[in-house]
Amino acid sequence: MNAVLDTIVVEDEPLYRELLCTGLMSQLPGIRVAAAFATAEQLLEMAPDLRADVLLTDIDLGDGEDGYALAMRLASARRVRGVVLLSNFAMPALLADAPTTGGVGWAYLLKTSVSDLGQLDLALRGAAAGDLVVDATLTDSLEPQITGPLSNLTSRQSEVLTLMANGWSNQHIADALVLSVRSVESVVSDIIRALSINPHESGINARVACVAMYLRSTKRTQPRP
Amino acid sequence: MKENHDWHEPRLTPFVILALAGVLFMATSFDPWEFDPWTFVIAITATSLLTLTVEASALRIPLDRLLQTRPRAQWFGHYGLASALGSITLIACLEIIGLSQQRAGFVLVLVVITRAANTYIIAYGVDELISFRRDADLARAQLKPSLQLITYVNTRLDKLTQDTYRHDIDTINDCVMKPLVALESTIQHQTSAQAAREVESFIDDQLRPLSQRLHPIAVKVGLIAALAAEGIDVRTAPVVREMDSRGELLDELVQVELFRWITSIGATGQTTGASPSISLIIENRALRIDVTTVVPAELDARQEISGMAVVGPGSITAPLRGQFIDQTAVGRPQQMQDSKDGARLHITSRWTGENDPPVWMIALVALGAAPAVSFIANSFVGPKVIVATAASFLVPVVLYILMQWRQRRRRSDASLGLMALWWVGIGLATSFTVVAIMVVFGSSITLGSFMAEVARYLMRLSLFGGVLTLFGALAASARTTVAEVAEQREVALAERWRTLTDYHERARLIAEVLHRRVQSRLAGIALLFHLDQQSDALAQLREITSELLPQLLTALTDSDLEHAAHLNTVASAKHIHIEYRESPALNILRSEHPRLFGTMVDECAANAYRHGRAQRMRVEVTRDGNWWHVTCSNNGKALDENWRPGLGARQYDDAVGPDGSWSMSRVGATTVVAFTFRASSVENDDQDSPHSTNGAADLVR
Repeated sequence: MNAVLDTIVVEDEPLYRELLCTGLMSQLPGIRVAAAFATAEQLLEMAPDLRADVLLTDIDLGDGEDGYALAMRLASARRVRGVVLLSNFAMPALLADAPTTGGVGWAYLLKTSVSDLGQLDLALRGAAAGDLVVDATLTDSLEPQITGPLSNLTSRQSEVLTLMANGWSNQHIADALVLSVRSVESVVSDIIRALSINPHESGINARVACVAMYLRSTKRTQPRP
Repeated sequence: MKENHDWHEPRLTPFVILALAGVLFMATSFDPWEFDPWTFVIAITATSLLTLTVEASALRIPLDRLLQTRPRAQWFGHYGLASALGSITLIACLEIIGLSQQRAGFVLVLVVITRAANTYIIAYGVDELISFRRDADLARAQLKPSLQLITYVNTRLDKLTQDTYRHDIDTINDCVMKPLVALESTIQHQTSAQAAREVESFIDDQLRPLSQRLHPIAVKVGLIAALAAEGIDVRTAPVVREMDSRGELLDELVQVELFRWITSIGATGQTTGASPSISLIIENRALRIDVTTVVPAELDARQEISGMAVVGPGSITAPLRGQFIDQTAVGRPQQMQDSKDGARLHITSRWTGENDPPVWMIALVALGAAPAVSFIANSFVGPKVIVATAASFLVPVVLYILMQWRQRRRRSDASLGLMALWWVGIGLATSFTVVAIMVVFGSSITLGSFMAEVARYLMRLSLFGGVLTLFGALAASARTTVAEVAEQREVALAERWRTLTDYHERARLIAEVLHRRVQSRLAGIALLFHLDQQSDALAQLREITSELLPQLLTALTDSDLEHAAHLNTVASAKHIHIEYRESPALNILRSEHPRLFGTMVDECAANAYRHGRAQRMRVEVTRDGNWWHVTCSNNGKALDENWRPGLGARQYDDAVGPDGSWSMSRVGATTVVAFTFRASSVENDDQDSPHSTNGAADLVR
């Protein structure tokens, strides 16, 4: 049984906020909305000491502080241990530079993706667990840069890395790719080696470092209109 | 009195003029005695040349340490010293060659004094001419072309901006309004799941790229992240990335224009199949952007004005945050030299009095004229000469002061002709006075000597004084022209920035309304479909197509940015002034049920602002046993006849609980929302509910 995750929601569009809190998140077992606010300022004024497991915030919150800045503020104050960024824009590369010190996890979801409760659940739990999680809709439109470090990966390794970026566990990946968990672990180890990440370095979460490098070394393929 | 004279670096010109005048004077006034004519001419010419050489050398004597760096002191010191040494040389030479003609000692002193006075007078006039020429050149060669360029660029910018405005309106109409109306019609006959997918596809495929293209508000979180979202790789140092993510790399305006430029390269790359490679380097207080693989686009007027500049093939620079310099405001246009646009340089024919020579300068002019009272070769100085000399000094000075006083009183500029007449009058008055004094003291004045005196004063007083005043008027005129052109230039620059910032503000508003009010609402509508709340979803969609977007288009067509900004506002309680009628019941409710009370007031205020554009709201609380009554009255406009409770009304239902009720009505010019609820029925909810949502929720649908 998963532990209950207290979540703070910050979203300026009232309809979306209402539906997110009452319509969707209430359907997720083990997820509880601790409080909901329209703006960053409202949160900081009305609940200056509020702590929760996850902050779920829209990036664009109007004229005041944006959601990313709010997330950085709460994460650095250890008031949340995970952040899920919601946006109408496809900018997952933001996560590549997000600070993960102290085990803070980050997720990036498009607003149109939250209706997929599985994806929302993965993002919330992945962020709370200190992972980097990217909307699957977005990773579908990412491809490795030609000269980047991902160019050394095999297609299987790329596939597994993409699923890691989507917040999937090894078990989950193994089920999806019809592999044993041990095989997946082996592929993950190969990925870590191929990306020259030292898993024993202090303060490094190898899985998070792999996803961060994935985000830095990919670009969108979707043509601009 | 304020001194407008510019004390220029001492120069030889006054001494050259004095030397020529001296040769002329000696040739016409001296008796050559035993010299033959050629020897006489050579002698006086050589004397003047030697004097000039001494004066030129004297001007090089460094007086900085003695006179520090004050220009006025330097001016007086250099000219005075050079004149004194020159006069001594002149007198010595004349003595040596035998042309001194045994003049008295005081006459020699007078020579030194009058030469110094004349030097100062000529130097002062030369200074005024230099000031005039400098300011006229500045206006003609720099400011005027600069103003013309700014005006020209402003015209281009205006046209570009107007075209963009029209294009934006067409784009919103064709790419948002019409497709949404069509979507509304299509999804009426679809299942909720199908409708949700349609709405999501519209957001993903059309609205998101469009709102980002109209104004890349995504750059708010960083240029590099926004470029990555567009599929453009950027190579740069970690420090640049860090500055960018902290918003410390570029000014917002520059950031947006740079984003537009780089994404236009990305578009080129997609057309040609090449992938642009972009690197960012900080160099000389600017961000250098190098593009390889594809040919970058040229900079447009807005980008140039934003400080971006081409520095090489495929390379541009953009000013770092706070380092902006308007390059087009300092450039000199090649194609604009003969343009009739912009300010013209004209030297006014009016006399403002602004640069009139000071009174002491006119006193010097009078002093220079005084020894001409026919005693220059006379060793005897009697009362007649003293009184006449004093009069010839005082009369012009007094009349000059009178002339200035009159000019100041009139407060309007006189013509230069009137000023010339004044000086003729001063010359005549002085000469008449001097002649009258001489007659009074018994001198016999012939018509010829009278005319000679008059002519002398007209030459020495009227001409010198008039020329000094004319040169001063010219200098003042050029200075005024410079100030006017500089002001027009500043106004044109301010106008440019207003156009540019208006454009960005408008573009930002369009994008934010599309992004925040339409796209986010559509995302909510998609959720409503996912949750099988089809009628609510359609009502929300109808509000976008029949209210929000038409209002946006009208506001943009009318350039009513204030209205557009209002559309962009997600209403909240902070937009309205709330008054509370103090009562014990109010205090109890506020302290015992803060979240419930806060939600009611917050929602009421947000709806009053959003739907009624109310400015004030009054809150009253009463208690009747177990029942609470909360009334929120606002001064917003009347409710639409077709209003009906919508999704947000459920929050009120939740707030008042199963036993309570709420109503909305119009009483006179006031809209009243009244809540009635039982304390016991809401108590548990208020204390236990972990997620009472704050902020704005819609009430009227």
